[in-house]
This record gives sequence, structure tokens and C-alpha cells, in this order.
Amino acid sequence: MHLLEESFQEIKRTVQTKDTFQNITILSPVETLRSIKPVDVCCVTKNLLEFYMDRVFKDHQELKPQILRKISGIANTFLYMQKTLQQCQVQRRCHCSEEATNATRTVHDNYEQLEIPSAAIKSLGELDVFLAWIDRNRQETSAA
Amino acid sequence: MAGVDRMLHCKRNVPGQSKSAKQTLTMVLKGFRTSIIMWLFYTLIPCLLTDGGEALPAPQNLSVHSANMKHLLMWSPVVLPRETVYYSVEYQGEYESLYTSHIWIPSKWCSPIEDAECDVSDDITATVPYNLRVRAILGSQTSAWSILEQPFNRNSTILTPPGMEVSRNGFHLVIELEDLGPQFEFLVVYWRRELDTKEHAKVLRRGGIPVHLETMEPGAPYCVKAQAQVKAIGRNSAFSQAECVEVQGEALPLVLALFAFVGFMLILVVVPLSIWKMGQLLQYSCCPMVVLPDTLKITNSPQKLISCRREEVDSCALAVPSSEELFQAWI
Repeated sequence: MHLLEESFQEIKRTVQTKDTFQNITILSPVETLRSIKPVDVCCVTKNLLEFYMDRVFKDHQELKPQILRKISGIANTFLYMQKTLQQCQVQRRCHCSEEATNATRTVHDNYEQLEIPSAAIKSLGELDVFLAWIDRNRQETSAA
Repeated sequence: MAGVDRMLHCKRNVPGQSKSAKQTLTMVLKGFRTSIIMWLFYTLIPCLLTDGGEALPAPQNLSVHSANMKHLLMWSPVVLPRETVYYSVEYQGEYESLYTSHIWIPSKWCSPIEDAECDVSDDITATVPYNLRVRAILGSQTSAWSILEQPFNRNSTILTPPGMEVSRNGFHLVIELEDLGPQFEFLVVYWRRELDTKEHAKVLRRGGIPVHLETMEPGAPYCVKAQAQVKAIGRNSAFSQAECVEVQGEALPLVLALFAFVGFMLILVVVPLSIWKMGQLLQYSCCPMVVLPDTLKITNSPQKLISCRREEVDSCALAVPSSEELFQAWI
């Protein structure tokens, strides 16, 4: 996980500089993510991984090879994480409550408010928030 | 019969008509020849044009050799006389192959490269199958892409027991493991051989640095073994062969005791001797005892000498000179 965050840190500045809509957030404010209950964490994580893989990484057209490599690394790691979460789903430990579904819908709605290139770059820039949230939940789970 | 007559009739041309037939035939033959030439032209030109591309074959026999999370893509080199052929490597993670299949990413260290092998460890950064492809480059010419037959997943890497150096620094048990990079952690297990004590375990986050394990006691040797662990792929290596060290405790105190005894005896003898000698030296140098020679010794009593001096000064003065005067004369 730390390697993933380190990987993003290397391109964070370049990506966030390209974001011209500073007053809008797509991933919802940090407090909203923090307010997700432990029982909803699996569902929200799965949904947000899908959001990034189905929309953000596909919509973003990256030309610079260095940044393309880092995004590819993150995208493929998300795919690996999603496969792991699917096992939880099979064991019925990844139930989606109404709150979790609403939180996911909010993210999608925020994304659609902007045009695709701007929305994609903004979501890319917010990856550090998402990664930190995943890491915190993972630590809390292993501590429990 | 009529048809034959017609044919014969047709055959039986008048001289004027045979001349035009000849001309027609010539024209047809000319046209035919032109067509053949044109046909040959159109078929050969592409061959001539692609002759350069076909001379640059695609690399063959692609394979990946992976050990301790170092992944090496190798292929048979394309050998051309008097030419240096370069290669370009591209990769595609499972994400790209599923979601953006047209996207291939140039390898970090091998775009281009001269050797017929490429370290793709920095490209394969997730535990998913990766497609890899290589092509040859010669100037402006490029070969077709050769793709690795089976996608490569880094969880198939061979993990070997880590290289280990166990040493003794005084009474400290020290271990240094080989540095295998940030993906690796190590489980170190140590115990005392021949004693029925439990095993101890310690997790080291990085290799390449000496680490203190335990302060040793003399007696049984200490044995150590280690295992490499890679969390990213959820696998561990086998344990290394155990290495043992011990501290020489029993012989040492005996030797020390012997030396201590000898030293003590020396002290017992030498010190009083020294003190006595020092005392003598001090006595002679500070307060020397002066012994009067016999000739200067006064045999009469002091009272008699004094009365003698008072009554008969001259005679007494001549007979018994004072000791101070004698001394002064002597000095």
C-alpha cells in the first residue's frame, strides 16, 4: 500500500497542477469518506475501485510515458485489489447498504458535473485521498 | 457441312483480309505482352519495396526468467552482419488488456536497448498477468512485434533463501542479510543449540544492514536461520541453512584467575620491598646521620670542659679546642 502511495506521490504534483477546477471535489470531502461506517467500507471501496477503473483511468488520455507508467501501476493494483474484494463478496461480507449506495452515487454525480477530461484529471488528483482512506481502513481491520 | 464450308470459307481469306488479321494478331500479342509486363511490374514492385522489412526479422523465443522479484525478459538476438540491431520492449497489464486493449506502454529501461534481454522489474508493478512484446529496430526499419506466449504474473517468481552472514562482536550476536529491495522482509529465527530453550523470532524490514540479535552467554552455541517474505505476492522463501556461533566463556576466567594470582603475589612481594627501599632513600637524602670521626670525639664531660674554659682559659684553650673550631678548620 505504501508503495502505491509513494508511486502516486511522484506524479501527484504534475497531475494536480493540471486540475483547473479547484473549488470542486469529486470524491466528496474527506469528512464524508471518514463518515463511512466500518460495515460499509467493503462496498464503498469496491464501488470506488470500479469508478476509477471504469471511468477515470479510461477517460484520461495520458501522453507522457512516465505518468502513463505510474497510472498503469495504480490501475493494475486496483484490479488486483478488486479481485481480492470479490472473494469477500462471494462470502457475503460485502453488503451494500443504502448509505453506501448513496455515497457512491454522489461521487458519480460530481464526476458528471464536469467535462470528461477535466473530471478525469481531477479524480486522478484526488487519488491520494482515496489511497489514504483505503490504508486507514486496512490498518483498522488488521488491528481489530 | 455448311459449318465446315463456313470455316473453310472463313479460312479461305482473300489476300487483303489476311493482312489485317496479321495486324490484329500482332496488336493482340503486343497487348498481351504489355499486360504481362504490367502484371510482373505490379507484383514485383511490392516485393522490391518490402525487401528491407523482411530482412529485419522479429525476435524469437521470448521468455521470462524471474527470481527474487527480479524479472528478466529474454529473446534470441537478431544477428545481421556489420549491423547493430536495437530492440524495443512494451508491456500491457491485465487492466490495459481488459479496458484499453490498444494501449501498450514502453518499458522504462528498454526503449530502446542493445542487449537481447530486458529487466522489466520496474514495469511489472502489480500482481496481475502482464503481456510483453519486443521488436527489432535497425535505423528507420522496424520488425514485426513478437509477443510473449504466456502472460507473466510476478507471483510466479522463484524465492531463494536469503544470503546471511552471522558474526560475533564481543558478546553480541550480529546478523546481516542480503539486500533484496523494498519488496522484501525477513523472518530471523535463532536458538541455543544443545539446550532445551525455545526459539526466538525477529522480523527485519530491510537487508544490507548489520542487526544485533542477542547478547550471548558462554556455554552452548547460538544458531540462526532466516526466511525471505514478500507481502505483495503473499509468498515466502525456504529457510536458509542454520549458522552457529559461540562465545568462549569457560577458559577465559581460569586464565584471568591465574594472571590475577600471579599479579597479587608480585604485589605482595614487590610493594613492601619498594616501600622499604624508598624509605631508605628518603632517609639518606633528607635526614642523613652524621657520625663524628674518633679524633673529634670528646671523652671528658661537658661540665669539666666548661669549668676548664672559665678557670684556665689559655691552658684549656690549648689543650682542648672547641668542636666548632675544629669543624670549621676541618671543613
